[in-house]
Amino acid sequence: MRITDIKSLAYAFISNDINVYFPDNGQECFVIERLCCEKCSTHWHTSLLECYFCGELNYYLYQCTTCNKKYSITNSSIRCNCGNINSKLIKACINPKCPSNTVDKIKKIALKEKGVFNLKSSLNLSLMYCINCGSPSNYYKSFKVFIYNDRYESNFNDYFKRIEKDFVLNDIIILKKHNSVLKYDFFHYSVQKQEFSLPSTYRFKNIGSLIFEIIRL
Amino acid sequence: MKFPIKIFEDIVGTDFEKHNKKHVTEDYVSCNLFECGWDTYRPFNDTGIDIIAIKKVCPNNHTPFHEKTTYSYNCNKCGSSLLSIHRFIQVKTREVKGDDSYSQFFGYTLKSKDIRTDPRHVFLLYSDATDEFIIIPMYDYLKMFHNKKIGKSHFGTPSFRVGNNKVNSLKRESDGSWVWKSRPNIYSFMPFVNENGMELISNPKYDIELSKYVMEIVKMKFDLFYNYSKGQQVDSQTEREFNDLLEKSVLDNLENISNNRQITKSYLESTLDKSLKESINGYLIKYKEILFK
Repeated sequence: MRITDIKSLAYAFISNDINVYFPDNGQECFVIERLCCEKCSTHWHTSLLECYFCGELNYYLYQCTTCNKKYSITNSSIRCNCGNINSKLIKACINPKCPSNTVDKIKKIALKEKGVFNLKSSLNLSLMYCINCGSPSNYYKSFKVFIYNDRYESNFNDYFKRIEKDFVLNDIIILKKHNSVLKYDFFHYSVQKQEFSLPSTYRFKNIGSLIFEIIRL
Repeated sequence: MKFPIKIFEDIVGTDFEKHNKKHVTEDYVSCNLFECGWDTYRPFNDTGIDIIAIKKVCPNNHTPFHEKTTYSYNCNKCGSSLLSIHRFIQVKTREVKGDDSYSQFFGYTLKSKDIRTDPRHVFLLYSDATDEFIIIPMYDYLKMFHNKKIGKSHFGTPSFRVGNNKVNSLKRESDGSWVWKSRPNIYSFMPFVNENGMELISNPKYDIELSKYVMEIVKMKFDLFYNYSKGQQVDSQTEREFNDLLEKSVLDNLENISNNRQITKSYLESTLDKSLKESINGYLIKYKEILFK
C-alpha cells in the first residue's frame, strides 16, 4: 500500500481527534490512541482548563471586576462600558459562587494574576473532571490498526497470513472497498481464536461513522 | 542483559544540544525498547505521548524484560496465552548538571496536564551524559509522593499549576546511584533505573487490573493536587484556610461538579448575546461537547 493511502486514513482519524502513531520497524499497521473518560468514553481534553477552587470550566471570557459584564477575549484592549475608572477586565471564573469571586484573599490573588484563566495564573488546572459526566478518571483507548484495501489486495486469506504474527487480541482490521463510492467495515479481534472472513456488504458509507464505531469499542 | 544498549555507536548523547536532541533521543529510546521485544510507534500528529510501546508478555509476569516474544503465543514457563500490553511513554532527556565528584541533578518540569490517571502512562527520564534510563510508571510516581517517604510534594504549589515548577531534587550521586533529595529525606530511585525500570513497565498488572489502578491514581492525584502549598504566595495561616476551603468546595463536592457546570452553562446560554457566544465558540471549537448552540 502506498504511504499516501495510509496517511489518508491516518488524517481521517486525526480529524476525529484521534491520535495516530506510525511503527518504527516496518509493520503493516499503525496505532490509534485517544485519552478518554473511563466512565463514558468522552474525549478527555487535557488542554481545557478548569478553576482550581470550584472546577468550573474556562469559557474564554473577560469579566468586569466591577459589574461582572462579560466580553470576548478577542479584543484585549477594550474597557468595560460601566464607566468605573477602577474596573478591570480579567479572565475570571464565571461561577459567581466560586471562592475566587467570594473570598477576599483568593480574589486578591485572582486579580493580581489577571484572572483565574489567565495564561500565567496559578488558580487553574488541566481538566480534572470529565466534561460530559464529571468522572475524575481517564485512560487511554488504543488499538493497533491494519488495513485491507481492495485496491492492493485481492485475497483476504493471503493478507491475513501475512499479518497474522502481528495481529493480536484487541487489534482491528479496517476493510476498504472501492466501488462507485468508498465503503468501509472493520473486524475487531475481541475473542481468542476468532475467525475472520470478508463480509458480502460493508456497513459504513463514510469514514467518520466507521471511526465513531471503533472509538466506542 | 545490560540495559540500555549503546545502539548508536557513532555518537554520544552529549554531541547534541537542547535544540536538536529530541529526535535522536526518542529514537534511541525506541531502538532500545525494540531490542527488548517491544514494538514502538511514534506520533504522526502532535500529541502528549512520545512513544507507544507494545509487547506480548505472560499474564503471570514470567516474561523477563529483555525477552523477545514477537513470534510467541504462550509463556515458556506456565503455558499461559501471552497478553499484549501497551505503554504510553513520555520521554524527557536532560544532561545532568553539577559536579560529578559530588552530586549532579536531573532537572525536569511536569504540568497538571501530564498527570493522567492511566497507570500505563510512563515517564522515561533519559540522562544522556551518563546513558541511563529512569523509567517510572504513573502509579509508582504518584505513590512516592503520596506516601510521603520522598518528602514534600510539589503538586499543590502555585508554580506547579502555572506549569513552571522545575524539579531539581532528582540527583545522581558520585557513586552512580540515583536518589531524590528533599531535606531531610533521601529516597532511592534505583528501583526505576535501567533494567529495574524495564521490569516495572513489563509487568502486566497495570493492564489486567486497569480500573483498580485508575481508581488508586485518582485518589492520589486528588490528595496531592488539592493539598494547597503556599510557596511564596501566602502565609501559613492562609494556607490552612485555603485547604479547608478546597475540602469544602472541591473534595466534598465531587458529585456536584458536573451539576454546577450544567447550571453555569445554562446561565451563559440564556444570558450571553449571539455574537459573544459565537466568539466563545471560536475558542471552544476543539471542545465540541461544550459548544454553545
